Amino acid sequence: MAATDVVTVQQANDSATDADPNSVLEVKNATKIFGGGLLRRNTTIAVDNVSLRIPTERPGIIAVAGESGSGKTTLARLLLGIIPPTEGTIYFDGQDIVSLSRSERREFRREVQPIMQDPFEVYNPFYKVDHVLMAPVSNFKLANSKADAHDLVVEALDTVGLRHQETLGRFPHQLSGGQRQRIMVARAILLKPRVIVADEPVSMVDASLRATILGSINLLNKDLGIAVVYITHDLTTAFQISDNIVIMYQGSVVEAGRVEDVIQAPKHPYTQLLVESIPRPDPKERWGSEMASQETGSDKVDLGCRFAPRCPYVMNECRESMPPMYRIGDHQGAVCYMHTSESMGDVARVSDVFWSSPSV
Amino acid sequence: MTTSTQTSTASDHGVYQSNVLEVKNLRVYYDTDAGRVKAVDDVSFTLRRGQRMGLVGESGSGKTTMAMALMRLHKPPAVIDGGEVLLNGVNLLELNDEEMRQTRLRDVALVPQGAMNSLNPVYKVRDQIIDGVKHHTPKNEFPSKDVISERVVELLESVGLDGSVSDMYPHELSGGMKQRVALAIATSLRPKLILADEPTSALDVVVQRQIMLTLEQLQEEMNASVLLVGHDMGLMAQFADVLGVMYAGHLVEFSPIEEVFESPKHPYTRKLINSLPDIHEKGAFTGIDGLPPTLVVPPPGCRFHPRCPIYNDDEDFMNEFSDIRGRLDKQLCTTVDPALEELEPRRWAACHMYSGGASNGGN
Repeated sequence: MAATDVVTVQQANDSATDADPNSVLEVKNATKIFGGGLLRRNTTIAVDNVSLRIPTERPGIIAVAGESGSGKTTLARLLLGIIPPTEGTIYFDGQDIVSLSRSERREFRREVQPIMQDPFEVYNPFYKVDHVLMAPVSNFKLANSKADAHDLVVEALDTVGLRHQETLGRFPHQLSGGQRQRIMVARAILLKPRVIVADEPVSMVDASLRATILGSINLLNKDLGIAVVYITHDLTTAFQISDNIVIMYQGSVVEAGRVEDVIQAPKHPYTQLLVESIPRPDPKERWGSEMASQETGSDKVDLGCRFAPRCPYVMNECRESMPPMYRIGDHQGAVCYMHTSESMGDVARVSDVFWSSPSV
Repeated sequence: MTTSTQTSTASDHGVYQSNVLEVKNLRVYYDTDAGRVKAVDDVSFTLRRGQRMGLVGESGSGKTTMAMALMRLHKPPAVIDGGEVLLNGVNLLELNDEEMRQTRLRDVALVPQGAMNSLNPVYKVRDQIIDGVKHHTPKNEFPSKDVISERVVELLESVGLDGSVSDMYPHELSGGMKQRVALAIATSLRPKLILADEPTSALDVVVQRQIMLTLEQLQEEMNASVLLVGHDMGLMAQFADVLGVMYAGHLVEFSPIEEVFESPKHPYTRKLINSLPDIHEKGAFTGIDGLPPTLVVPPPGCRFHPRCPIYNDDEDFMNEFSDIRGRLDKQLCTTVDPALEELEPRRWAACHMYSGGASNGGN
């Protein structure tokens, strides 16, 4: 099974106790395995040995993209500290989040905020929306008086383009899905976090509203300097708002780098398949009629590249061991043996190939 | 029955012949405590043989209600209040329940929204396909066991599945495979019209593309017409020949797909296209301000006017429509509900911008 992988991860951990000093959040060789228990059967490796750092300075927006079952949501939950990794470590400001003290943990909870997929589930239908916004203000003692609290809320709503007169005092069912989602963004802003992990924030809203919500998330990053991890299955919106992207397939990272490079010149066969399958909003750019390799339902592999059973270019070595991530350009890396010859070296952390916007 | 359909299919393959579907002034209402919701309000269009029509709209625009009403599968409190649905000249709204049942699947079939959950978990795939055939075929025309077993395998192969899938239960199949089974059921009696309501909304892009290509293949082979209902303009651009755009219960634009994307007539369609992100250029998409109206008390006049960039003097937007700029009589926007009119051959739109002879422009 994955036993070999697990051993190497442990070895790596023993020697690597020091976290990167310039990162808000850092994921080091994180693996998450679900199921199994004593008998170790039917285990799912949801996240397989992923390393990634979010820098303190000019963090940018990182998209994590993949299909269902790719492990992107599990990675989000690891980053948020909702679930612990099976192997590896998550560092917050250089400290393992498992060993945070009570007050440090509280700080972590404030500094790393989620925006969830379904804004309907977050609300208690019996409370007015004010509650969702006021609760964090009082919980984290963000304001000294009621008036201050109100001002903070109004300011946050304003940032996401909502008029407080039309929002406060209402019940969730009186607001549209898009408004509810923007309130979640406003809530995240209130806490002035350093990192926001947004899991499919626009998958439930109409195209006409998508632009507005993504616009406010973009603003959180560009104007307020908040690091954003944007989890999505939609490569077009990922291309639009993010600086860097990580493509996942069955728990492993297959490609990463500057979003323009990865989307416009994908190197991994899986990324190529994904990009080809995007339904372009242009009748002149129709899909090719050749059928992409089909999922068979039984293409889970324990050894080697996870994509090998579906890969049109599969080679023998692909089935034997997982390739490392090869650096292909300044800001692109692919986990694929096809690129051995053009490799400029192996990449340890996927974020090592990230592009960073020049300082202003 | 089946053989005659096949021969006629082969002879006029690829040729738009007759109108398969004519919808005339269709109205579907919901009576609720808050009042009457006009979900589909006076919608008319025609769909030709072999044509693939897309129907888009925001949630609540009435697109799904209309698709369901076409097959008379709308659920209470929805009521068809008037209009005609002519399928090959037969008004479906006048059929009795038994006649309607015989029409479904044989003449018009549905690939439902979230079709993956439409399969019965306790029956094998084979039995679900046979069940559909049995239910919608007169007893005396029902084929023998051997014939039908062969047909099941054929059907599964036509949607890209192995014949052995017939012995499997739905839970043994992936989402994409289930959707293929739903396609096999929908095409089992070679219908003339296939309604597909967001058939790939819960699927990943790679699987989505495979399913849409399979649907396209089946449709071409049978020369059937397809009405694809959805909100994804990208999918429409990939699949449809003609596109209908619904807004607040009205059909506001109906045109060939290339022309819709090239030069949309209705400002709402234009905004919808501008709201689409692409992977060529960053930052080239914008939202549509405001919210879709409530259909209990829709805005007076044109239902889009409160959000309309032209009515609201959006300068950037008006420059794009410079040819007709200034012709808009704003008073009409707030008082008269514009009708869907043919502005150029095969190009329909419902907007006051074009009243007063604008349709004579162009050619």
